[in-house]
Amino acid sequence: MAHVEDNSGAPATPAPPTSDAGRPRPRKARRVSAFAQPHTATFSPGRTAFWFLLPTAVVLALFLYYPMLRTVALSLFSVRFYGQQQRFSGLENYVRLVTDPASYGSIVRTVVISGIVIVGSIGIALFLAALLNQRIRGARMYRLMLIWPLAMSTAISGIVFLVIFNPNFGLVNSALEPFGIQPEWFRDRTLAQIVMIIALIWNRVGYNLVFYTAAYQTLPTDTLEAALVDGASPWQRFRHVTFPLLSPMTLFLLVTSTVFAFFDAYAIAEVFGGGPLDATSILIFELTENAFRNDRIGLAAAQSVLLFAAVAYITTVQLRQGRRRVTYQ
Amino acid sequence: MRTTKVLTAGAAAALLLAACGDSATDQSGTADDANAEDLGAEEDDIVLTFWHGLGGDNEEFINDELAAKYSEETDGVVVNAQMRGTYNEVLDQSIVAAGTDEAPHIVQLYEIGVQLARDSGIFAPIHELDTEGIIDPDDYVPAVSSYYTDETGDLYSAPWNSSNPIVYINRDLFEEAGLDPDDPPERFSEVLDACEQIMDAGVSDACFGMPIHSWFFEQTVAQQGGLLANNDNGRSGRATEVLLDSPEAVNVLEFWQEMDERGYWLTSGAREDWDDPRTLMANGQIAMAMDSTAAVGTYEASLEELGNELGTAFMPIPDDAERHGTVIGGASLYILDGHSEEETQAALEFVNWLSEEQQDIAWHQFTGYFPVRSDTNEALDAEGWWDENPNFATAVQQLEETTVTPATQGAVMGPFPEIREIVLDAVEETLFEGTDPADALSANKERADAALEEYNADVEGS
Repeated sequence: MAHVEDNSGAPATPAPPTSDAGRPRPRKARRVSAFAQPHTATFSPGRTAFWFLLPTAVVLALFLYYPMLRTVALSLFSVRFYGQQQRFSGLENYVRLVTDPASYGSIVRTVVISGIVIVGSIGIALFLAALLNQRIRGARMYRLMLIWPLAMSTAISGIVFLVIFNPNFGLVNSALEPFGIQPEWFRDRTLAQIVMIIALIWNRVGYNLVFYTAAYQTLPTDTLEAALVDGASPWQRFRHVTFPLLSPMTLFLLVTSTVFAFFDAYAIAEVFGGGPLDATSILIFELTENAFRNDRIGLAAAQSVLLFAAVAYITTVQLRQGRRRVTYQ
Repeated sequence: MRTTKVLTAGAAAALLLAACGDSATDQSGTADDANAEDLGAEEDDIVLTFWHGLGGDNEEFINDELAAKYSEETDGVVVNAQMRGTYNEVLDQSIVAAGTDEAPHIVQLYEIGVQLARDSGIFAPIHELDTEGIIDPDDYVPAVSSYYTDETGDLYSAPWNSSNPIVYINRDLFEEAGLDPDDPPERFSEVLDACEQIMDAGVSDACFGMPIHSWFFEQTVAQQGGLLANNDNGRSGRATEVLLDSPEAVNVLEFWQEMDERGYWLTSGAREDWDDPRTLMANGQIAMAMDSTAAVGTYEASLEELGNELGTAFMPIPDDAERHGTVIGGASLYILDGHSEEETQAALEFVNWLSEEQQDIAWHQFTGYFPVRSDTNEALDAEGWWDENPNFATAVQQLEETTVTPATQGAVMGPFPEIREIVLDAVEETLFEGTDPADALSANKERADAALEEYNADVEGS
């Protein structure tokens, strides 16, 4: 602590050359860690960095890295009674997951549902952001209303959708009454999946919209004006100017929405109970069921390791591909 | 200018995210743990920690009317009641806390967690701990206490909040359809006939409502004297087989399928959707609903708002079946092993006090859970409570008419929560896919048996 106070006494000290940005760095220097940089007269950048990073590092280690390592370790055990009984079982949990024919059904289900949610929530958000960027009366009001669903937790929106789509007293079927159709939303696998997808997209669009709207406001007006002067149609302006300029944001939303679709979708599946007949039973739901309802924490840990690996792989591919295609100003 | 806007949007987004995060995690309700000093504990006082899974109004009642009152009345003892999430979470946390300073003294767990709680090894049976005879098993209504006795025939845990399913009736709709609400249908064929009459009279959209929940299936099997698991429902030895293909089980699903196919049963189709029948009844869309006795208050209030009168009836059973009674649902109180002799005795005293007459009456009248002590029932009778509140009486009568057999004692199986899901798979195949009930049940029996086998192997491996 005393060390920090010492530093605060010399605020006027010019910043030491910590950053080599812009200058080509000698190859050797790369190997040297930030902590091992030579001490300057008043303070050492390495130590300062250490103290600044410490709180974050401690929080990350305690709440992220330790649980992750613990999950990997647990996946090698047969665990009962919520951890009281642990027997080392090697790769048994993984073998069981890979050889269980039901696994493939849930993988396909999860990939399809998540894929539609990711594309749908980004596409709709982009469309709405484009509309909101028009100079129309009440644009701020519309923006507020469209972002509103974000304020609702996924679990609550699941409950709301359960009521809205209730075939006997829900809003949707009342609205469909004049047309003579009364779908039984929770008795049919496909219909239940559609409701789940709508609920997830509805829940996510607000988040994506906030970021797209923010990105829209930073678009360079001169480029757009140039396109306008060149006589580009609104579609051409969107397709060839706006969309490429928004691509860094699209990449960011692609990654965050992927994480949302694979992990946060749990709460809605929970409200639907995974049914009917497992139609809404996606991987993250099965995992939590195994951990907390069925008391198979080892198996759930193995599932979560596999799910983590899959999502990590998907996002890596997205980032790699994205780097090639994204246009930075 | 532009940056400010972006920053504002970002800050708003962050705030919203934080708000969402809070609402999702709040459910566990562990943040408001009162510490002992706040509860007025002095040095040398025994602080009893009581973990339970009841939220909302019930939680407040436990804090104000039970825990605080006991602390005030009893010298040297302070009760710290904490709501710790769902029953599953309560068990989970108790296991983690066992053996540490944080370990609770008393834990409330649901009926289907009986085997798991016993196998977890963190609790001690009340009949072993209670060397001074603080808790008298004979005080309890036999049909209630029988669920919580172990192979010795004595109490392992102490009964507390218990309920069973009954049928709620909209008396006005019954009369409009030309039915006698004082003679409600009690057999499957009578229910079908009554429903036909209700549908023909066109007094409501449909006839009947019920959550798609395994509990109602288990109860109707028990009413017929059917077992859910072998070895006397796992009472005379560890259960090794789930009897999903029994004739009693098939009866239930055949009846459900028929009610559904004829359009009498109105359901959202979602699993364990408790709000569904309650809303349908409140809208006057159905004339009958099967639900827990713990919902008496809800139904009374909603029908009153509708301007209709509520009636109640016993659960329907097959035409040729004999009525054996219901299995109690709800939860009981467990004492953790490993606390000092002094603290354990204090915990037993509190558990006993919780269902003593005065508390038992207050609890019943507030929640709709029925009284668990025989004395309480007599006192309420003398007071005229049942005559004035016949809808509260139905469940108690249904309980009184229960003969204690392994069937009505209820099944004890380690992976009961998982088996409930498997039962619902069979129900959904029957209702939604038109699968023959017997086929659906025997196909899912294999999965249930496998879950049981795996659990048993793991327990023996310990």
